[in-house]
Amino acid sequence: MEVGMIFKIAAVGVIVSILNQILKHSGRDEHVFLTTLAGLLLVLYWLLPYIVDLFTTMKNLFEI
Amino acid sequence: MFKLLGSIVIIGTCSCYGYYKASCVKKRIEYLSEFIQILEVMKSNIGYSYMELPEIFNKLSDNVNSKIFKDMFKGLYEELNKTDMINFGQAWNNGVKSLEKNNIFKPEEISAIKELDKITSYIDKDMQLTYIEMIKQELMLTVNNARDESSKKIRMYQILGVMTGMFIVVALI
Repeated sequence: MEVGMIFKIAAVGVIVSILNQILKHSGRDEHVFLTTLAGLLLVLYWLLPYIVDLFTTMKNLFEI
Repeated sequence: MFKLLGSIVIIGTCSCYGYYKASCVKKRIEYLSEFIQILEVMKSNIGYSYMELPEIFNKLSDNVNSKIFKDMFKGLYEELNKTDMINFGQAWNNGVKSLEKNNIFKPEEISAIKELDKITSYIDKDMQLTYIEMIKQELMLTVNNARDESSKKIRMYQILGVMTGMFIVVALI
């Protein structure tokens, strides 16, 4: 896992939180949930291969 | 190098769209305020100079600043002066359709402007003036509400544009 991935996840977090603040301030609370969900899905999409790798490694390690 | 250029293009495009939406909000308020002034001019001309509506529209098309209203009143003047007898209501609704095409006004504002097509059903001058005043008050309420919301909306669209561009760039890189 590259270090750049951590920075990308941090950047998404910062952008989503700023967007949420602006949308809340403008009275569009329904869009806040959607923005958070979009950010979460994007980060999960990036992390999914590493999670799969982790479970495969654990499986191989314990010969399950 | 290409990544950087692509990022700049994406952020630039999204920011421009955000600023465009913000400018549409500003324009809507300006156009509504101008239309309210146009209604005042119509009232003065009907009340004091006893001009006919086609002449009023011709005068307005020369004096208004915005192109959309210039074209609308010029078109109205030409339609009402044609030899085939189109009634005022139809001519007015055709003129309002040209405003709808610009996608600046909200549907309730277009409905309020369309209501002026019934003005010729009042023969009495005072009733016509009262009717115009009623529509003017409706639009003034809309403009006041729009002005209150506009500062929040303009800022929101501008920042949303930039942030969305950055979000897309981070997602793609």
